[in-house]
Amino acid sequence: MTRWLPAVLGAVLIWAYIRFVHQALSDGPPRGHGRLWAFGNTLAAWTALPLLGALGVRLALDAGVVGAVAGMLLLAAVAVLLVPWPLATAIAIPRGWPKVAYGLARLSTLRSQPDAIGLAMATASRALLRRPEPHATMAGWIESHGHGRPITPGVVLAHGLLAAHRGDDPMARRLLHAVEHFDPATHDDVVITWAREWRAAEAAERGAWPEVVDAATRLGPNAPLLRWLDGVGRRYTDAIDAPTDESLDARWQQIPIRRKLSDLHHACIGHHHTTPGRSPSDASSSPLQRHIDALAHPTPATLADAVQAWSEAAAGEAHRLPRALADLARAAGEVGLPLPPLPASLRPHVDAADADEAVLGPLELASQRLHRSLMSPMVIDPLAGLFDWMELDGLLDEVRRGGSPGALRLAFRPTYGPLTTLAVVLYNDLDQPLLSNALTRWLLALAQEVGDQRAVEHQTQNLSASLRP
Amino acid sequence: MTVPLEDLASNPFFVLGLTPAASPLELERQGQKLLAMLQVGLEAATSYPTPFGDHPRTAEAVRQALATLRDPARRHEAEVWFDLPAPSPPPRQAPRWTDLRERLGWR
Amino acid sequence: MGDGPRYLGIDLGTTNSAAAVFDGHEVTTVRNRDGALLTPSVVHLDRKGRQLVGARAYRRLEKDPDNAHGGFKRLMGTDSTLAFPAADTVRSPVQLSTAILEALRQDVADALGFMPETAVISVPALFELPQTRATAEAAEAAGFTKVELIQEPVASALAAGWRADDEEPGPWLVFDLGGGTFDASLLETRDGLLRVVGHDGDNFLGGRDIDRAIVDWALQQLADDGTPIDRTDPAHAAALRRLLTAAEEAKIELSRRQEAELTVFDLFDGPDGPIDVDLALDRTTLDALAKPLVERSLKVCRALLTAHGLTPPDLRRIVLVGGPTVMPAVRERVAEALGAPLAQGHDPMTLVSRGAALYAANAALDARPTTDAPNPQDVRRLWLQYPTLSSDLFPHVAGRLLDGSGPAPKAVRFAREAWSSEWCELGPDGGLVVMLELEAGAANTFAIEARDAHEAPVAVHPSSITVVQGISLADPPLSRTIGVALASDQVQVYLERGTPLPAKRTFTHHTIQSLPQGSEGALLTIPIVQGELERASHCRLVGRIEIGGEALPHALPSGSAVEVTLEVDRGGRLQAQAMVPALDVMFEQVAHLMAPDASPDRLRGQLTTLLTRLSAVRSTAGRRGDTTTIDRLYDIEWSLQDAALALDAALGGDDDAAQRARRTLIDADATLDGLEQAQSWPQLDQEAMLEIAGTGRWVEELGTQQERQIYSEVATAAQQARQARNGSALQRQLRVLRDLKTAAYFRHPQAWTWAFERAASHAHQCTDVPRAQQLVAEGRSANERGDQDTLKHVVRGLWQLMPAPVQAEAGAFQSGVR
Repeated sequence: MTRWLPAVLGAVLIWAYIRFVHQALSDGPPRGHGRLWAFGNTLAAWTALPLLGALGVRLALDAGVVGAVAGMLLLAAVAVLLVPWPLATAIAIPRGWPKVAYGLARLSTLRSQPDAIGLAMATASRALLRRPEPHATMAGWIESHGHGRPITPGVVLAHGLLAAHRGDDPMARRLLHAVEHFDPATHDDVVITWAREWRAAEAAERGAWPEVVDAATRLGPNAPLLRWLDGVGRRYTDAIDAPTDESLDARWQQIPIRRKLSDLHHACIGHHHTTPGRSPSDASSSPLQRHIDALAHPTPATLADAVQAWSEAAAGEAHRLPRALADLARAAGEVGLPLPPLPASLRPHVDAADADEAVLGPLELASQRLHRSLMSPMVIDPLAGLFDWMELDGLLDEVRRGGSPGALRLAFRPTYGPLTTLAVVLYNDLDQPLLSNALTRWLLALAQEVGDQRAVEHQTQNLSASLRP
Repeated sequence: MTVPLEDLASNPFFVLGLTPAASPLELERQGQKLLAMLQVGLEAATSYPTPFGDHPRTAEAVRQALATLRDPARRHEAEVWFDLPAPSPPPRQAPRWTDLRERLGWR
Repeated sequence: MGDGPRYLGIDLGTTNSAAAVFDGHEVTTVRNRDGALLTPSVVHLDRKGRQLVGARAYRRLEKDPDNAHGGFKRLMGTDSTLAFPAADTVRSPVQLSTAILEALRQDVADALGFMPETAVISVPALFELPQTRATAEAAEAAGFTKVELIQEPVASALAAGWRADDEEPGPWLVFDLGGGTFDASLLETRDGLLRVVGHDGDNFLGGRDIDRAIVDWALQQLADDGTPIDRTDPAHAAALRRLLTAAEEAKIELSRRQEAELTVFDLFDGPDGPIDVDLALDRTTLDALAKPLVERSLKVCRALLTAHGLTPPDLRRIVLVGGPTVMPAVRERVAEALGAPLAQGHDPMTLVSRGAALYAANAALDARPTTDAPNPQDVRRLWLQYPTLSSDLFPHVAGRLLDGSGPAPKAVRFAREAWSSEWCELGPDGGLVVMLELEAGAANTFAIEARDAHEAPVAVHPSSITVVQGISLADPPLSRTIGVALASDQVQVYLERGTPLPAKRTFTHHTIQSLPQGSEGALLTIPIVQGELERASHCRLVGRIEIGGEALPHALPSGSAVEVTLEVDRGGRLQAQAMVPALDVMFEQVAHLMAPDASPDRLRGQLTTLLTRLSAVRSTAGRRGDTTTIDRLYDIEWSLQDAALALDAALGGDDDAAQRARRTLIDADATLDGLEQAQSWPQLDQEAMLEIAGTGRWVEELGTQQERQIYSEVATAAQQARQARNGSALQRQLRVLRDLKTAAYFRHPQAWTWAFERAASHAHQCTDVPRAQQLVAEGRSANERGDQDTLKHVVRGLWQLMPAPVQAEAGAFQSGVR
């Protein structure tokens, strides 16, 4: 009797484990018991799988060729089930196998709580990114797993990566930034790290180092790569608290894949020691020279210098001002910078209304469309709501960049109204508490930026209300 | 090169290779000559110098330049923005890490 | 009939057409087979389908009006067809124009001894793009391999200014009143360069309108005599056409005599037997009938001058073009009203065709068939570029030696009788640039001499070129602004009116809705419009780029960039393409709009609406004592009456009248729009004033420091907007002011109570009345308790239940881009 007990126990455990795996791959864990379930699952895996592994070894060693093959297969399956996550990141993603990546991520139940499917979608999307050509069918397959489920940070990350796969970097940026707005309590380390990594890397590609710092410097999981990028960004933006050479080196040493980045790292270290070009504040230059310099290389320093030069310019140059100021604004907008605030003497020369019209018009139009769709009797798809939010977010960015200083305030009401309604609809009618909460945070930040007290109070109240489960 | 700088580089006088002292007749003559040379594909006509470097010259640009300079108001604007300095060497600029995503496995 | 190029120009007119040939020395108008200089633009088909064109067809208009049609030029670019019942067939305007062009081509071939391959054909300057395209199609169908189009006023100007050496510099005017259209062009000649400074006109004003006025008068006479003719009855359409022809003849007669007879026998069958028309028309009556139309044309001229900062005394001279300008009434009135001398010595009927021929020289369109005779084997070819028509006495020739067999020349020179150039060495790429010297006012033929490295002569092909010295034309201007209609009913202007052609422009737009992949029926529309008006829906839709879901490799999300390029060539032909960077695909299928929807019923509905709006504007203006607006309203009313008459004729089957009515209604709509906006401005202004003051008080009392700061900035911006009368900017600032006011307001201790009372009073209007009432009850008890939080919650709940106003947004022409 006691001889059979281990075998029976082993069989029961194996059967239980298979049941777990099956459930994981189909519905996901029962709500509210995610962590417990994951723990139990992992425990089962670590007991059942070595048993299976032992069985595999015995077969391989004892039962001849057929047995050897069967044994090898069994061992391989055990390996897969034992360490799915490393297999996903080390093999499925680099090889660009989205479906395999999805399956492995779903199996890695300990890592993936509480948002198993979201993380799996994100993993699959990351694998898809490795494919050079856009693959619409696969993207559709990944997206289909998110249908009818709550939109979580993982799902948003997946959609963002799919947008990047399509080549739509601006949309990807917005979606990945939106991940930050979700309740920090629901943050999954992997999801948040990946989102920040991608954003920081993409910003570094454009040379937008302030954005790199913004993406990499946040509370949360402490990935070495992000810490290093944060340091690099601070160096390149001449920040006051930029790390020293030794500090930056120490950060770099922590990164597992540092060899691929060594030349970049050393270039950053060496950057400070090269001689600078003409100092922008060479006051003997004519306004026209400084203007041309700003147009040729628009940076915050050169733009401010040009504005300064024009404000000090003699009256004889006044006929140049309207075009000069308009050109500076356009050049600034091209690299995503706002024009420095104009001194009072220059303001009459700028026609703010036209510039505002160009950026406010589309925003108001989009706002009206959202409003109409919210008022219509048809049910809104929460994903569509997410994308509408992203569109307005993008249009607001254009207002910040291209409009006059007061333009953001003018854009506030058309943006705030429909999106507040959307947040309510998402929470009450569409059963999307997480997304609604994220949107509310974003609205709160916007209200604070604009300085609308009432809106700030309103959203703070909404936020506390929606945090109740 | 930013768009506003390109607009300045497309000053009709630059395109035609003349100064604001040119008479209407000289403008038309030069324009006709350049159009003929471009049509035939002569190298000498395919670019023009500006304070910001050489720019490619197209037949369309030449026609547009002639049209602009025929209109007195637009000619005046072109004359105002003719005498421009070359840009100074750029200040120390932060680099772009153009293949970072590839290195990190995001592409 | 010597050697040398021949340049052919054709005037395809509403009433008459003509052809002229320029050989480098002089322009000759070509006589047709009947020996006349003018060919009536009329086509007749008999029972067997045999076609008659020109004077013979014109004669049939009287006897067999159902099977002869003229005046189809105004229908070019529409879907209308004209019926020829005897031959049991219909023809499109393009087919009829082709018939005319074929006849003219044959006449020219008879005169020149060869069939011309190329021609320049004139089109009215305000010819909208579909009409221009239709003309080009007709020309190609008539057998021309290459055709360029020229705007009629430009052609007249070229012909009128051709040998005008003694003219003093300054602006001059071409007054072109044709059979169907009126064009006024402001021109300037400087250093031998003719420039069109500006242009205006009316596509529905011409000699035919005078004819119609005569017909109206005749019908009135008949009605007074007790025989009314119903214009709306299609059965009477043929009778009306005969009457129209008779009216035209009487009008022409009156240019020579003081009195003419308007006679038509057996016009139609009345209740008592066949009705004859026999009326006497005198010059005085004709002048009176023509006066309103002439005044309209003068109004256009004055507007044109004003738009360019000129007054009538600034004009040096006026050139009259077109048949109706032969009428003494017209000539005298124009000379008197504009005060400038009328240029003499030009035949108004053939000026356009002569100018077209000169333009053909400018465009180097030699009509001779290209000889395929191979040039001798061992002769090297030069590719040369030079102006065939030059006003500059010192033009340049640019060229390049092409690859081939035979001895290669090292240097080239150009020689004519009295002059030769220096030897020009070919560059490393075989290129050469030589400045020529021309003899003024003549066709200069230069022999091309070439020599090799040893200075021995070498043969080259071609062996000579010809440059005609004379006036040349600056690039013709685009007659109407062209752009893309946006979803907000605004227009993104691509090419402004007056832009020299050819011209091309690209802008980036963004889609406003996502376009799923593979779905039929899902369509992204990019409408292309033409016109000067602010609202896209008031402009004329001339084409659409349509991107269908089936054509996409994958879905196109909302907000995707679309780069649209519009290009117009010298003759006004439009090409459009859309490039979607995200898909890396270029779309070039432009669905050209032919018939704008002009169904009489719809138009009648529009007319009724306009009349209602008119009376509303009038009563407001009356209350305010606004005489300027009232005067402008009279103009609009008059044009609406005209439209009503045209609608009647449209019901009788007159397509031309339908188009006219449609255009008139659109113009009236636009003008009324402007008046309504101007009227509503004082109200908005006053509202703004009150809002600024009111908000100021609230913010002062209850606002935070930051809010007060914001208020002062916004109030300044709002005052600026009031100053600039910028309605939309002012509305935006007012929104912010209201927000500020609300923020301050709700800090008042009683604010929520007041808000509750107001909301409660509207409870019965809520979408969910039982729930609303429940909330009201809750609110009352909360109010008594002094429970602010619950009260706020109740008020917000009530607000959410209130019905929202539905905004209907008519995206202009279903535009899918912003």
